[in-house]
Amino acid sequence: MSEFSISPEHVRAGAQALFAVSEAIYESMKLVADDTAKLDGTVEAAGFTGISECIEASRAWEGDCIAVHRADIEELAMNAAVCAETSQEVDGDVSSAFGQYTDAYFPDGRTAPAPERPGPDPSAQLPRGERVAV
Amino acid sequence: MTVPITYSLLRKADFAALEAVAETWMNLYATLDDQAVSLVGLKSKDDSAFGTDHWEGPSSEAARDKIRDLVLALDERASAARRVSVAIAVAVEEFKGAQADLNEVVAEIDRERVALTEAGSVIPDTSRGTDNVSYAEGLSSRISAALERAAEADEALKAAIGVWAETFSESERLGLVHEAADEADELQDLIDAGASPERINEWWNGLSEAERLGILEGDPALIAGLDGVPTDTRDAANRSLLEAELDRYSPTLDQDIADVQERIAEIEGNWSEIVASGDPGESAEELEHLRDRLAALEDERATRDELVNLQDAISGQARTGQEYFLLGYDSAEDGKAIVAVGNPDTADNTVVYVPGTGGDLDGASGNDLARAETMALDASQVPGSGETAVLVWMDYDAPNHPLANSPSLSYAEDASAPLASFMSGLESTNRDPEENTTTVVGHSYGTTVIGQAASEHGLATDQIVAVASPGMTVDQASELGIDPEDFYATTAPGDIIHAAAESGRLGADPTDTGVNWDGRQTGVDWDGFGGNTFDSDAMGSDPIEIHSNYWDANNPARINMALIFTGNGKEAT
Repeated sequence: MSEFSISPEHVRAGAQALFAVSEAIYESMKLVADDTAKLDGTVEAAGFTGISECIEASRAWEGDCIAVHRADIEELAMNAAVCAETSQEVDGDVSSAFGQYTDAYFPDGRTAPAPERPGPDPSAQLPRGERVAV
Repeated sequence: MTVPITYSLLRKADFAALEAVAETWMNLYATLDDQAVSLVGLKSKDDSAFGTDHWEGPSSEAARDKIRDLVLALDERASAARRVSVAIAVAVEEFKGAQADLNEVVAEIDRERVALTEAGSVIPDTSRGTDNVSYAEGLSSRISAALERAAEADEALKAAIGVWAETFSESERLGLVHEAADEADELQDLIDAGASPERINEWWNGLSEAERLGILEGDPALIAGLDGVPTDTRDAANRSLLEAELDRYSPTLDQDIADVQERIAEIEGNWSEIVASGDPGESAEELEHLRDRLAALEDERATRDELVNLQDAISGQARTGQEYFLLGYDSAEDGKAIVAVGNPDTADNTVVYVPGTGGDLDGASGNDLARAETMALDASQVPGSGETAVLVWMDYDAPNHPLANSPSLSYAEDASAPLASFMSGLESTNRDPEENTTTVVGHSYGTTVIGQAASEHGLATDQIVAVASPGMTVDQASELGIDPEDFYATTAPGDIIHAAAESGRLGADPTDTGVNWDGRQTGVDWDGFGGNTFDSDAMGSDPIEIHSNYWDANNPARINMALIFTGNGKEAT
């Protein structure tokens, strides 16, 4: 295992790049969700099962798949940010330290909302149309 | 199961919003792909933001590992988004086509002979004779066909979204697989009967999209290496198999190896004391067992690492911005793989590169893939060339050693039929084989494989290029099954392969114009191999290194090959 060393300005730039990646993905996913929402409630969505599946896909990706990827990316960004701003000695205080530096990473305020890792929804664990036996 | 589409629904349906959704999914694909590239850039070089020049230690290694995982995840998600977009776009086209068919029938209806209800029923006016009955039946039949076309497109869209966007529940997924079980059996029968790639392709195209997806989901191994199945589908099947194979490796494999190594070191460190105790037998037995286990575990790790390298190599974009496609792989022994830079089914030019001695799975995801990317990049620089897809065809057991193995023809003989089948498969899956320029290019022993395949089976290719060939098992280009004018060869001055080529052991020297070679042709009216030769530089003085320098920067072989691949071989020098 190599010795710890860090160039804060480079790692800081990397962390900022990660947040930018997350935001770009959010914006692109939002376009899908916004355009797909226009299909919701239409006669086409009611009559074509494939179109209603498209609505389902947009919801699943926006609320789960993409949200999880963004959460993973930003989690890495946070850890990198803390590593960049602190030293090896305070490495154990990662989560609280991040809050201290958040503003520095978003000087103008972020445009995309922070991702939320979806909590497990018991109903989502079952095949569609199936229920827990009671 | 197809859900009926009603007459009134298809008449009034507007697909503009759905069309826009297809575009946003394609945009999402591009974003995910681009962002995966951005993530790779954070660690790709030592001086990258998270490279070893700027960040060392356990946290940096964890960060780089995490980036790898993220890149793979985004790459997979990007591929899914692309497939969703394509599925929606195809459905929109079909829906609109069905709607146009329906509108055409409605516009044609002679209202004096039949009445059309709001539900789409055609009622003949029988008061004016029985002719109107058959007229009404004809119209009804056309209306039904239009509705059926829309329903099939709807079913295909639902299945594609369910599979690619992973919205299907497990029971829905199994239902899709179950619905395609008979087709999967039929395909197995075709394979067992030795059906040609053309026949496989014809059969595959006759399936509904839901049936194709059912086979892909249910038995990816059936189609992963099957010539005649479209590239995009083979890619999905192979990636699925690769991921499943990697998942089977123990997550503690590295630690297991470390533990065994530690125990071996412990016994060896105490060996003098063990011997002094007077009964080293038990420890000796344990040591032997541990060494065997270590060797087995290290073999397992080596294979796993090769597969990880392959997975890494085909994630993200090539230097050309093209996608990678995995058309086959095998981790047994040296390993095999077929990797494409760009989709050969849709490209304007297709190049199949056959590596030579030493080729294996590592090469197919490493040096040989880098050469393929270089050739694709060079071809893209030729004005008006369109897209050139370059494939590494490493689907044969290549000789391992230039002296011990390469003089043998057996490797080429074994590779001959698979290469011929693969080329036929590519021709059948290409969307426009008449317009596509296809070239098979070999390096070193790879040219021997090409020569054997071309002369024994014939190759579905427009051109053949031989780089640094030791011989192609034939005496003249005319024996390769193509017009000799479409054959090109080069060997750089000083290349060590000259000695092998001039021996004539694997056939005549393809660059021989009739003055060098006097082996088996002594006394025969020999006027050279035929075809064209083109320039290449040695780019060094070591004969062995020269043999591998053809893809180096500034080697004129590169621009010459690019010209040939893009159909401009006459300009090659």
